[in-house]
Amino acid sequence: MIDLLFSSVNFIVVGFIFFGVVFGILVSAIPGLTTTIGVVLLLPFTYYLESSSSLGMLMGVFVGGMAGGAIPAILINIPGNPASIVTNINGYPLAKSGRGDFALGLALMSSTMGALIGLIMLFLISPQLSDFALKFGAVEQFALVLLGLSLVSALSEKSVIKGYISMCLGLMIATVGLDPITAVPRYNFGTVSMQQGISFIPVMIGMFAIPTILESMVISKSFKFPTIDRNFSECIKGVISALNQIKNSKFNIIRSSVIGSIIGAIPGTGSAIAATLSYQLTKKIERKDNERMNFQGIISPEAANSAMSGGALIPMLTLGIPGDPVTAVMLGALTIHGLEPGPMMLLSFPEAYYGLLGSFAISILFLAILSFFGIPIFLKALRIKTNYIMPVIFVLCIIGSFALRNAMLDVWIMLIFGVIAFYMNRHNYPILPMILALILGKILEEQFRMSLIISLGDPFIFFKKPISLTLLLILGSFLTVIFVKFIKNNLNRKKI
Amino acid sequence: MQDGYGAGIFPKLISVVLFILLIKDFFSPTKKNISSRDNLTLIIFLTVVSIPLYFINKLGMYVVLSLFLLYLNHILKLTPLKNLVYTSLSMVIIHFLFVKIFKLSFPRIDIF
Repeated sequence: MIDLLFSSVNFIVVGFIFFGVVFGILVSAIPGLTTTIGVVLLLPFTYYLESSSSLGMLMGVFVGGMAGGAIPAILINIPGNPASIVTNINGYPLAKSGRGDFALGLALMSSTMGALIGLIMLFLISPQLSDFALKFGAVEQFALVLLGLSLVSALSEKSVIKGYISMCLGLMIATVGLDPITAVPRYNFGTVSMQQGISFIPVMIGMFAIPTILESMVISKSFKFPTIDRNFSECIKGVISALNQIKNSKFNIIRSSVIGSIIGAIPGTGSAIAATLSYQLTKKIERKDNERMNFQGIISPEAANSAMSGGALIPMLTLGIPGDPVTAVMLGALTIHGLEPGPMMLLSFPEAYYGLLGSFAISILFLAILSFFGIPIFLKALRIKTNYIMPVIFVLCIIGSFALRNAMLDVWIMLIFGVIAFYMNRHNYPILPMILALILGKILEEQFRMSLIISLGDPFIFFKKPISLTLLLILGSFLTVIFVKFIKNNLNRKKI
Repeated sequence: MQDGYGAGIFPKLISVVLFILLIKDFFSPTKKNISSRDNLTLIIFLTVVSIPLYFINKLGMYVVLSLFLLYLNHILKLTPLKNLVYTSLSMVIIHFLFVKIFKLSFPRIDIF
């Protein structure tokens, strides 16, 4: 197994992983850009790379991106990405008191530890879950995908109804193209190019990147940040004293990382929830010691959000259900290279499966090294003005969409879905359920139709198999809880 | 025919669910007004982007991308000189990276 972990690793792959980690940290350190945009921007390059290099690079961005958001959160009180939403609460005051290097060291070191624990959890849980998922037939797979999609839609930060609307729109778009069983063309407006359906890659590129560009055009000004200069030796001193503090915070790191991994494994939750939950718990535990909380308040969310990356890979690799936007893009990259994530991945592509875990481990190693030596470089990223980056992002979006099939149709799709996403953001409709529904819609319909064919048209087949019945019962009870909560909220609103 | 079990049910089911959810959402009390500034920015953006994209087979990819870069750099308040320098530099990098290294074939200029 250990052989497989590093079997596809060579100097080129290691180089791409290193590039990915640095790129991830830099992208996350620039406010306004997120880890998701980082992986989306690199996605077009993966068409031309070997699977091990491209997946290693994306894994590097994922790991680096989770850690990089802490840099602006600590130094200028603006979280670089949602994962660092609570890091600034204790980090910024510490930086203001002249201990910015120490705070950054704490954040990056705890991110490294969190990612390592996330990897261990992934390593321990995913093979077992894969074995169990092998028992799944068409009926069980339908129930599982339906449960995953419902969780993502209902747990999105915005309204539940808007989440489900977004999901249904994604499922409708997924029906464009050939019928999965009879191969009859549907909703293609009589055109041949639409018969293949709408590829989710240009949709993802457009929906994640175009709204950011449009937002910067609407705001029409670049973020301005104070100049922060730290020399190399100051940074090293800060990191060494942070390392001593980390040694005294073992329990906090383990607790927060386990919370992060578990939250990450639930589709639709994401890094912001993982960081906030573990921060709240730490705050409760440390309520009597304010001074200690100043440090633990940085360690806890950073360990949790980095451990989340390991957790989020569990459902993606074992069940084929991406839990967050970054793993959704990674799923796209896997399919580009002919690898199909899901229960069969471990059996069919063990090299790719363990290679991905190996890339994760190497990314963590690079993150640890960069935590020591990279801080002065990352501080410079804060000086990059966003208005220099946005036009380049737009051009990369066009080339990335075009390069997929050498077709302008994909560029138009990217643009149209970008505009749709801009308005969805403006009106609080979450984007993730739509993208996941577009990715999983074809599987959902195919398994639904297969189940009906197996049962000769009997829809009760979904309640006759134990695994599918259990999954549907979980879905039912989950929807009941949401419905009751919704009614209660409405009643309370009327009373007010 | 065995293939026929459930044919067409899936899109119909989704359409019905979507319709119900949209009706519920339409009558929900929390709604945002559409900002006219957003719309204006978007209309200008779409006009500037769509017209060259439509004629990409005549103009070629390089001209279209240069136009986009010039426009976006201008909107995002870069000085004309910087705008020109960044656009030229970006096009050179794109040419070397995507055409020379990745061997991507872009639509070529065809107006003559």
